[in-house]
Amino acid sequence: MTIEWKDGVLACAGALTVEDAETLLQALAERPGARADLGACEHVHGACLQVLMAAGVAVTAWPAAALGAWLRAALDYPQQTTQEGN
Amino acid sequence: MNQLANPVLQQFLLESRDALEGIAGSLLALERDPLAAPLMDELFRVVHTLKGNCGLFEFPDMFRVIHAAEDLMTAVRDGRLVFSRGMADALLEAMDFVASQLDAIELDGDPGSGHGAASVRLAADLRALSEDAPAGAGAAQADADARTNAPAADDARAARIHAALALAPAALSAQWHADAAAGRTMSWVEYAPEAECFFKGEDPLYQAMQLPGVQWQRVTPAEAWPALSELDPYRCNLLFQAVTDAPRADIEEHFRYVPEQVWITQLRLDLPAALQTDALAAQASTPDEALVADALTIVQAQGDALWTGADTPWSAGRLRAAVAAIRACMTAIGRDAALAQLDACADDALARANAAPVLAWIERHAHGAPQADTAPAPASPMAAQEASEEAVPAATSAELEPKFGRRADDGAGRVLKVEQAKVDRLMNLIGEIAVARNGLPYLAARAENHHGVRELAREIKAQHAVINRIVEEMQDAIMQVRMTSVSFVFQRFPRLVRDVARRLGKEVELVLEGEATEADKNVIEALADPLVHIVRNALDHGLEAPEARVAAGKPARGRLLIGARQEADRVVIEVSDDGRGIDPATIRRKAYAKGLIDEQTLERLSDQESVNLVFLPGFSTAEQVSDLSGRGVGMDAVRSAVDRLGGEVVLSSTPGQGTLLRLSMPLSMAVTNVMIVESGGVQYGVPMDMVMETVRIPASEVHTIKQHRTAVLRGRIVPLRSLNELLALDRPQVHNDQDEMATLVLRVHGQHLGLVIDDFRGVVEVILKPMAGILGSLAAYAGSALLGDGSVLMVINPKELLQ
Repeated sequence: MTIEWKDGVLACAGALTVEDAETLLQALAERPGARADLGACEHVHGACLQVLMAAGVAVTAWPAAALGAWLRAALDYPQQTTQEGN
Repeated sequence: MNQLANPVLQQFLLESRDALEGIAGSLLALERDPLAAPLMDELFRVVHTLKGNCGLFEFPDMFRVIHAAEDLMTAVRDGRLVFSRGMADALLEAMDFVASQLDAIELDGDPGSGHGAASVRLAADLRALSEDAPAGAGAAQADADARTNAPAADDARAARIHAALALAPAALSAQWHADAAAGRTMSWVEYAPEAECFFKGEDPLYQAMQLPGVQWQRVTPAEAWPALSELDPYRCNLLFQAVTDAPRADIEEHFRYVPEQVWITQLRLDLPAALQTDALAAQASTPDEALVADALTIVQAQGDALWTGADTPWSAGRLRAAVAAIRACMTAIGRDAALAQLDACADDALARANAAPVLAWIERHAHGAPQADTAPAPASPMAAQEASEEAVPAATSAELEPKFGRRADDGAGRVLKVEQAKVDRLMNLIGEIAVARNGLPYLAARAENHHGVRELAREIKAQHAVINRIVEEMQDAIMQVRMTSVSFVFQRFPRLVRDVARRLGKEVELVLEGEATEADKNVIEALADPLVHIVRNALDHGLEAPEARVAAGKPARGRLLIGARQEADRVVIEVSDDGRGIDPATIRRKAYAKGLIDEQTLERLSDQESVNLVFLPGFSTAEQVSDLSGRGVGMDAVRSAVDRLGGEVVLSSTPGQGTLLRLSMPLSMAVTNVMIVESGGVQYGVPMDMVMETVRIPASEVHTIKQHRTAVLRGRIVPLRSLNELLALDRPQVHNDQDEMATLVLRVHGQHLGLVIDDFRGVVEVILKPMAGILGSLAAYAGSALLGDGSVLMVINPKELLQ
């Protein structure tokens, strides 16, 4: 996987595996209220998903197919709009 | 056909046996400390792995039992039940069943039929225990409540469903209503992965994504998120909810390994009326985002197809097909606004015979396109449905590819498990090369004496030195491979002691020491049975019942110590208890009454010697025969087993305070030092570890006491036996020029004895091969060995010979 900051947006690509959860957590802990581009993600492991959820990231781009649908179900809900507004 | 040839099955058998031992160990440890969470976690992990492995094969009986055991452990681990002895009994029994199944599988590749009833009974026992759980405790968890149907929990669930469904897009809920009216069943699935699931290589999101027929889904934290700095990313705090139209059986099949974490119910669409009208009114406004995502996937897939294989004769036809598919998808999700532009792009692309304009359009409109540009349109639900159904197979096959982080794989490859037969073969080959090496000095001698080439002889000797060094290192290396720690034998004792003590109604504290002590695998394995015997004896005869102990002023709980340590080239194992000890007088009387000793011996024996009478064949002090020990074969069998291994066993005891049994075994049986002696014109070997000294006794100093010849050596009377006589060779021993007799002073069962032979020859290291087949019954020989010149050396077993 690759995680890098592009214009203040955390761009994730490839498969976010269970080992990446820690890295992801560190990256997000440094910049609260971050935005993330998951468009190029092939998979997001459950551990990474909960980091994204707990950090309340605003997602700017979604991956395709079932993964996208599930990520939206986790990260793109009305009750989280306040966080997305950050 | 032959399942046994399947390497996966072999691996399964190996790992399962390891797992069973781990489980037994954890259970016993838990019994001592029922609240030790790490132990419980470890236990659960092993059982879970075992179940997973078992699921690879068609062993339904085994699987059923393990599954029930796992459920029970889940209940304990979650704190809904308190670990008890009864549970340990049930679980141990279940694991015994699994072990017996493994045995059967190892024999003929199949656990055999007819175990169904037993497995159902065991599983029912385990289930009965797990259902003792107080209802409602831990209501947030899905498992037990689903079974016990605690109404309160159900209500909570129903409320949760309503709350969750209220968030579902209105169009979708309306669709469900229509479907429900049409008689289609929808299921509500709630999947709460356990907190430790990441450590088991599970990926709950992946698991959820693979759920078939998902119409709508939601992922929420199981508990509110902590501050980011306090978040443990490896403690799963996710709750997955989904509505699916897959048959219930499929859903259960999908979650078959985590059934306790999943709650499935039929979706009851008794939504409040107001919500329904809202839903209907809102039906056309927003198409469901899952559908949008699916449709966009198809569109993107078209783009991918166009990327590959441009500039082919059929690319124009493919382009048209792709545009048609994209148009259908976009219409279905109500994004027809962009379609005019698509047509223009398609025309452009056809004109230029290049798909680039269409690709650019896909890029603009289908990649993460925000919903803002969607124009409300009368979307046809049916079309959307078709689109999504079309999309699902494509999506799943794409998502199936990546394999995600299994931590267990990372550390693998450090330890190699090899069948013992392969190591044995290697050891035999090394033994043979050692014998071949021993041939070189003979060759050198022949070159020098026979052919008169000194130069060649010297070179052969130099070469011999090199080969000798390598062979010795090889022998050392193979010994290291074969070294096994005594824990191999010791690990069975906690269970054994517990079971036996419970049956006898005694309380025993078992202390194991020096489990890391190592010795040759054969020695360790051969020790197993004698040690079991000894331990049973100690529990049965040695330790008293709690009341008797208290009456004697000792703590009610007896102490049994099993310790191992290395002493020079021997491994010493001691089994001691603080029980009633052995009364030498009783032993003496018993032995006399049974005719094992005569009156003279009765008078003469010291207390220490008396105690060791229990090793005599046919001796049993137990008043009544129990099923544990005391059939009169026990200690006799122990001693002969230990003798076979070249070991020694000594018993010492203080009445009222306890008994100590000391086993001393050679570290290895692979290489034996033997002294070569000559008698009756033949060479024989005598194990060096029994030889105390070699002396030449003048014939004049031999005294005959009664019919026995003796000599006085260092102020001690040593009985003399002639080897020829013992071997029934009909010729006298040869004396040397000074009329002296070559005598080996041996130590046999703690006593010194002179073995008279013709002459000494020297000491060699040999690979001792036990006598096999018909010769196996010749107890007088410990085995045979090949010498460097190719001749066979018979090695005497003095213990047997001198009986």
